Amino acid sequence: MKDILFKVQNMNKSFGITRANHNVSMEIKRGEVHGLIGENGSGKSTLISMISGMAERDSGELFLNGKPYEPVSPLTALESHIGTVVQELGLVDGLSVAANIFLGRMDRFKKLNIIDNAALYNEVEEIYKKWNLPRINPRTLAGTLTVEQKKIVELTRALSIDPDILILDEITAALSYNTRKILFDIIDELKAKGKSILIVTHDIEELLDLSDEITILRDGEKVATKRADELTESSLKKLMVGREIEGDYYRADNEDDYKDEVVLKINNISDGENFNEVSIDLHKGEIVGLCGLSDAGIHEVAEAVFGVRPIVSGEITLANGNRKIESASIAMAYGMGYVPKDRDKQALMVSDSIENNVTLSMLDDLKGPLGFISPGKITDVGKRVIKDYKVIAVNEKMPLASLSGGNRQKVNLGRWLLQNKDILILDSPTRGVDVGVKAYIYDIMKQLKKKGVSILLVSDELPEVIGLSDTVYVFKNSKIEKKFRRSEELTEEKIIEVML
Amino acid sequence: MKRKINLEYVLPFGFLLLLFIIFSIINGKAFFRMHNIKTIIDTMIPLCIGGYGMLFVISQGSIDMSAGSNLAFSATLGAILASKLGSITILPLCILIGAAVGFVNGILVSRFKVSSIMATLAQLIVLRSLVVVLSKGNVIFVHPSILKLNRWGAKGIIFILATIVAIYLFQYTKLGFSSRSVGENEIVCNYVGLKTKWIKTIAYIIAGAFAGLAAVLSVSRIGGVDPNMGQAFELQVMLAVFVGGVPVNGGSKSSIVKIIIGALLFSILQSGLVLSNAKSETVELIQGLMLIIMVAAILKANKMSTVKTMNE
Repeated sequence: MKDILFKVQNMNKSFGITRANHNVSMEIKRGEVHGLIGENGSGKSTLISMISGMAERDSGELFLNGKPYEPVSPLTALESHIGTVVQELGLVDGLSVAANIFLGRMDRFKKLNIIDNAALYNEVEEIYKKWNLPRINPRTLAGTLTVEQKKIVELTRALSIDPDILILDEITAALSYNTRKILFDIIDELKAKGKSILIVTHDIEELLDLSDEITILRDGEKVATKRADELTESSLKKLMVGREIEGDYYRADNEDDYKDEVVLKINNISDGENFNEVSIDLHKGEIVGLCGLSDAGIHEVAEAVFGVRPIVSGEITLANGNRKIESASIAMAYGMGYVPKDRDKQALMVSDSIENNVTLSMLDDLKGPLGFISPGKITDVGKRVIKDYKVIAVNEKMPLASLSGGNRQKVNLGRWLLQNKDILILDSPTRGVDVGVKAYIYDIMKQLKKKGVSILLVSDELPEVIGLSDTVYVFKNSKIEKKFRRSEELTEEKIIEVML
Repeated sequence: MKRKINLEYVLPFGFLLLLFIIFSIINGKAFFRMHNIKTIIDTMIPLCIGGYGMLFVISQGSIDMSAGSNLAFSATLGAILASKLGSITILPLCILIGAAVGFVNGILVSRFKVSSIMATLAQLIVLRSLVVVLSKGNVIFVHPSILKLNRWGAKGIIFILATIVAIYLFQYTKLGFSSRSVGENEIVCNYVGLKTKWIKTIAYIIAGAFAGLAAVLSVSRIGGVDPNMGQAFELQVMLAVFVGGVPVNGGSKSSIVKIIIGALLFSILQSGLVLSNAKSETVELIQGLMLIIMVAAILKANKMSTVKTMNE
């Protein structure tokens, strides 16, 4: 049996009446990947923030290499060679990439009390090389980076200390296929060196693949720790949720099935930067999936289709009234809804109430005579979203910040569903939500399809694209590389082959 | 999770009650005399009217520093034009001129992306110098008929109408809702198809129009236009807005009622202190302290709730 590198004993943490962690104990073995899983709000992030010194624990003990470990700040964690990539973005936007990586540890670059920038940048380049990470210019300001690039910078920071334990909280969801590959190589390398990894992810398949041992949390308590090879996807889901997940995750049929009527015609559009000569026909009742590597332009296509990103050539036409989409307000008025990729930045006003977030997307519909929008109607749509889409919240006045990621996403989707839109653009609709909500969202998509709603699904998760789409467009180098129809033979491997 | 008492609502009311008690003890009957109550309302009306307009801008997370200069500018130009077109036209003229100035502010901020404080600060200087150019530095007297607007009946009706229009526009229309939403998160507004540039421009137009209305009331009160009128008006308005509990960064917690409370607080404080023979420095000192306490308390309350929810 391998010896134990890190030990968590009887950890407790409460926020008010909510017990985020209750007597959680766990052991991480040397040279192993330890998976941590649980539904949203089960206490994973709380546990990790206590280990990495970002939150104080109420009680409990931590041992590193058999010695008591007392993280009083994130810096102690780094000094003890515990590197963490947190779920929420943890970079200072106004500082350079390099400064973010060595934040709080700049002393060693000091020459006569002045930071030697050249040495600092060099060191960062060295780390990129050492771990074979994609190079992000160390001089760039962190605020100008994409979500994925930010994650890579955080990963670089965690690796810069040569971690004995690398903690990854929900990192893969933000990474494209190729970067994930690099990360998995890094994990293998660390394991080979006898280091350990603690990983949190909602992607069950991935977790089973990566981990040697898995700890399952539910409602702040540990349910079990099991060897990964003793678990299957369904047994793991059952442990997480505490009951059987019913029905199929994805579509049961194996053939494409939709009406001939074209509802949205994307004709040869380019934005001069991210995508080129893209043409797609979206039919009534069809789910069209777009996939590609991170720089393939799929998310930008979605933005352009909804009219929030300008195009330089080509046109997007709605069959409804033969309208050209020139702005998002036209798209909305003619029956389109859009769930953007970055839920908390692009879709929702996080500190505002549920009802206001719902109302925001349907202001024109709620207008009465003289443009009067009654508070009663606002409350009403808030209530309806909570009821119809099973949002777990005290009431419709609650700020979204008080909801879990999955429930926020239900609000985000619900506000369009409430309006019975004919066309929905869903960009990464299940990003960062747990299995229960994921299954629920897939279910809704299947029902919508049955009702004749057309969906443009943009996603980095191939199983979801394959599992739901009638037609799959694979992007490569800003262009459509290949179009697949739904069939039994369509596999992840086939798509990846085209993507790379 | 149980919501704690909402400090930003409770605090202004608490202050109001406290001031009321303090001044009724110190000043006794004098505080409740008709004359004093009229003074309080007289101070309050321009603050409210300036605040209504400013709220559209502040709720979007922007600021309008040019309100005072705009007031003087629309009063000067309005008075000059009204002397030729007939006295009654001063009311629509001032509002239109104010709105036009607001339109320029709005274009600068929304199209040319000048930060709102810079654009309106520049306007503060530019407009004030235009006032001096137009008036040649002299006081312009207006036709005595304009003084009728300062009668309680006329003033009252103007104030009540302005309040109704402001409440309607800000609390119950798409414009008001979008203004608050832009303050919450502008990117999100773009992603749901709101024309944010236009919303920003309109907010400045409205702010300008209300500054113009405040100009008419000022002119009718003093019977003419003084090139120095309206100086620091924007600061007093902001004081009332923020003391009333409107968040400094705008957003959905902005409301008209908060401005009325803020303006009332400000006016009671001023009249109470004057009645008790306080020096003007003391008045300003206390107003400043009150602002600091309010803003700090609101920030603290908001921060506490964010930290809590983030840790969930």
